[in-house]
Amino acid sequence: MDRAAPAAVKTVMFCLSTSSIKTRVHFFPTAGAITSHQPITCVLSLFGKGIEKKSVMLDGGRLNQPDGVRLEEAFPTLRNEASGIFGLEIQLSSQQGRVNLLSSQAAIELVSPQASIMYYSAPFVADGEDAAAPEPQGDLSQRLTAARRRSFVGVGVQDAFVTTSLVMVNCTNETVRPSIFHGVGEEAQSLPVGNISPESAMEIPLEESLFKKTAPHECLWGLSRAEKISVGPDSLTPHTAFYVMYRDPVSKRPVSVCAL
Amino acid sequence: MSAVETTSHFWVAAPPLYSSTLLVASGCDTSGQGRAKVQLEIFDMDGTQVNSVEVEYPASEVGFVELEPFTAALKMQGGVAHGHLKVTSAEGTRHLFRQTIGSSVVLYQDPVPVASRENSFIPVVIGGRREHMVVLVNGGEEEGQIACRLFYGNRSPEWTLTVPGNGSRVLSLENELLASADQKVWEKGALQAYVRLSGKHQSPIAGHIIERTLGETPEQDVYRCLLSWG
Repeated sequence: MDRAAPAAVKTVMFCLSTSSIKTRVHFFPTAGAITSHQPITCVLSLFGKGIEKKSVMLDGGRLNQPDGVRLEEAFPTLRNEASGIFGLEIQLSSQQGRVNLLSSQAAIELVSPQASIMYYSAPFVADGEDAAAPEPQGDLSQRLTAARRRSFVGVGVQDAFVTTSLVMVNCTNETVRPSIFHGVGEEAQSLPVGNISPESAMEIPLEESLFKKTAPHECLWGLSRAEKISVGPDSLTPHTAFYVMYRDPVSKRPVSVCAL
Repeated sequence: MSAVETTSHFWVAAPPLYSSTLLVASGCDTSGQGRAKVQLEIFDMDGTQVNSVEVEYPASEVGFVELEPFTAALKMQGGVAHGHLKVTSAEGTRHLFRQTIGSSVVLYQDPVPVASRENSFIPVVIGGRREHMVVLVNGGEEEGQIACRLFYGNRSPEWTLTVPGNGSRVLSLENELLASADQKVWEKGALQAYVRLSGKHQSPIAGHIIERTLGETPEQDVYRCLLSWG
């Protein structure tokens, strides 16, 4: 048992539910060197426009064993009533004392008949009263935390094959006004993204005008423009998450997602 | 280059099926003035350095590096000429990898490698006209081993895979790994499965899976890259 370990860890992601795209959620509770298969509690909380925040506890989770569920099975409201982009909070905790689950991982798979994509969550962080706890110890946890710091930075791309959106998720019951910037150094400018409503997820396409000042690069596949996107450090809290989603400009289907 | 650096390890493969471009965005502390540098080292699958180049780009822009000119010396293994791309930049720099596989495009950030007593996982659906290639890249200089366990149904066979220092390996999940398993339940239809990668040595190894869904013709095949924690 690790007395310094948080009682629970969580990450915040987003999912899509449309007539052609469904979501599967996958999670992998792990605690580094601990190789046992003790029971793990996984709680999924779904929230967003048009639905009341709902939480579901999944049975049968075990340490070091990957697992997953179709989101429609956990939240039947996604079968018929609700459609669009939603926030998803994944909370993991051990039923047998404190185990450091900070290096746990989660993935969302956006499944469509044409092509499915999968993306990984921002790193798990301590939940609840432990949210202000010291940073995790252990190689993988530290590397994930370092990656999170680095991932204040993302890249917006626009060309014949890819357009970019920024997805913002707020799982608190308060409105959040994030600081998002585009460009580098002294030339960086604030990106007007507005507020994120309580318990909601929103997708903001990066308009063509954002890339107009960006020098185009002649690549094998044609002209491509890229712009640095960054999140102000004060805007990254355990209760908010930011992702860059790349879509096919013609079909609009998601191509890739990267966590910020 | 600053004393503190950002280093990423990517898997790179040669045309005609694969085409890769590296995008580099400087960190938050950059002034945006002058020129930024990125150091690229390319190793073949056995870990021998076949190319090393330093690229400069305007610090106020995102740098583009097309990798095709640097992949000519990569060796074939598992039907693919492939290797390891090590990218080093100033602290806080974001490296984004854009890979075209057939007609599919994928963009991903640097995968986080696993070292001794660390784990990562990759969800995968096996069967149903899908084929999978497990891709491993060793970011360390020493030979490394990784345990690859596949959870499917009530089975969980495990294989120990070795990757040379700075090298890379590809393995067919169905033809090289699952072929040695004694149960073929996965052949009957699409089955949700999970790959768990567990580091056995200090050498950090990053893994991902390239999934190919067979079309009516090879041109209609659809590829996707399933990353472990990318």
